[in-house]
Amino acid sequence: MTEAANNQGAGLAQFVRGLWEESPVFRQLIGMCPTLAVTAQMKPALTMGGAVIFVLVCSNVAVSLMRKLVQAHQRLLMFTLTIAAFVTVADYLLQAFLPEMSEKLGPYVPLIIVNCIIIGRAEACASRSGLWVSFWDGLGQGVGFTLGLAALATIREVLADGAWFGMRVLPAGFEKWNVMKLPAGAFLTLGILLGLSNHFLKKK
Amino acid sequence: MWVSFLRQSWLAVASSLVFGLLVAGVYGGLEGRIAQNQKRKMAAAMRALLPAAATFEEVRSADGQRVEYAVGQANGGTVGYVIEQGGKGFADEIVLLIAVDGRLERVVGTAVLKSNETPGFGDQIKNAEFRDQFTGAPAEELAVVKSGDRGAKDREIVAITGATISSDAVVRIVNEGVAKLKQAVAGGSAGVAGR
Repeated sequence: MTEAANNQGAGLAQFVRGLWEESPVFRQLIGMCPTLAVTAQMKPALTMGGAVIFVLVCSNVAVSLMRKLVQAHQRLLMFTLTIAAFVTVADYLLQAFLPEMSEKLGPYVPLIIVNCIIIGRAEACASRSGLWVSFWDGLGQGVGFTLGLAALATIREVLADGAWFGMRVLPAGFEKWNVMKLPAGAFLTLGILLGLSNHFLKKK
Repeated sequence: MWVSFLRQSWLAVASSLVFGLLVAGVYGGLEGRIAQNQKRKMAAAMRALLPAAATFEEVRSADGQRVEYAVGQANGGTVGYVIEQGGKGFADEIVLLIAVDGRLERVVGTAVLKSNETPGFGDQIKNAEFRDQFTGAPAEELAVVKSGDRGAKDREIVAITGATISSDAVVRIVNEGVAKLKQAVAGGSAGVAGR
């Protein structure tokens, strides 16, 4: 196998790992804060997912590009600097093109800077891998995170509003589960989903 | 010594420059759109606070640079005034839209245009339970109290439990806004500095 093809293979394998096997939400249990906070409805959940994918990919690529130049004792500083820059860019993009979502997500957009997934991947993957692998890792982890958010948001929005993406999906007579709008509902849903995913991915 | 310092810090300095340029560039490119979105949001908020007003007329400062306040009018008469006032909150700046009736006697309502307060605590300044206290309150110096009757339309505003600083900030901003509005409408906005 040529080195290019090898790289592609490694990259894609990294991408797929982020979707389930190393899912940040269900396996690594990181990035929990936005997972609980913005998943009351699908729209903000997917917007957050999109923003994190953007920042994760940009940050992984940037960190990978400078991995040979960063000195070990300064890496946290450099990673945070990089992530902060891209989150600021993402914030401006949201304010310009999705103002209602930007307002809905509020303080959680700048909080992406301290999202453990992003700095975690910078440390675990991008700082020691080539450009391509880092890119696919960022994409995979980001999409995996978004899938996790979507799973929670689907359950919560359907039970709390009887709707999905703002469109009614349950009959009008359905008694809404208000708890699903609140943090308690978020924790319950996440806990049950974690239990289920553990059951199906039992370590042999 | 200097050489070793440079060797340690050059990457941080260089990246700061590059990222700074990136952020500035993106902001410069999107500034117009963001300003337009803010304007649209402001117009909608003003209409929500003073639904009786058919049109809003902006009154600008002496140098024409800033909008001092807006006058809501209907049927040839003044329905009320709206002023935007910002101030330091607990986490970040809080910007409010304050509507006062046509005779500058009572506050008609408030809206939070911008805030980044702690979710679940200071964030509750956006909730009707807190904001409704301002509706019908006298257009005079309001004070924050820890407990009391939220329904009473008096000078006392009951703070949010666990969010004293945010509550204090909102009341302070409302007081500043109302005072500035009264002064500006009375016909002398010279000397009123900044926001």
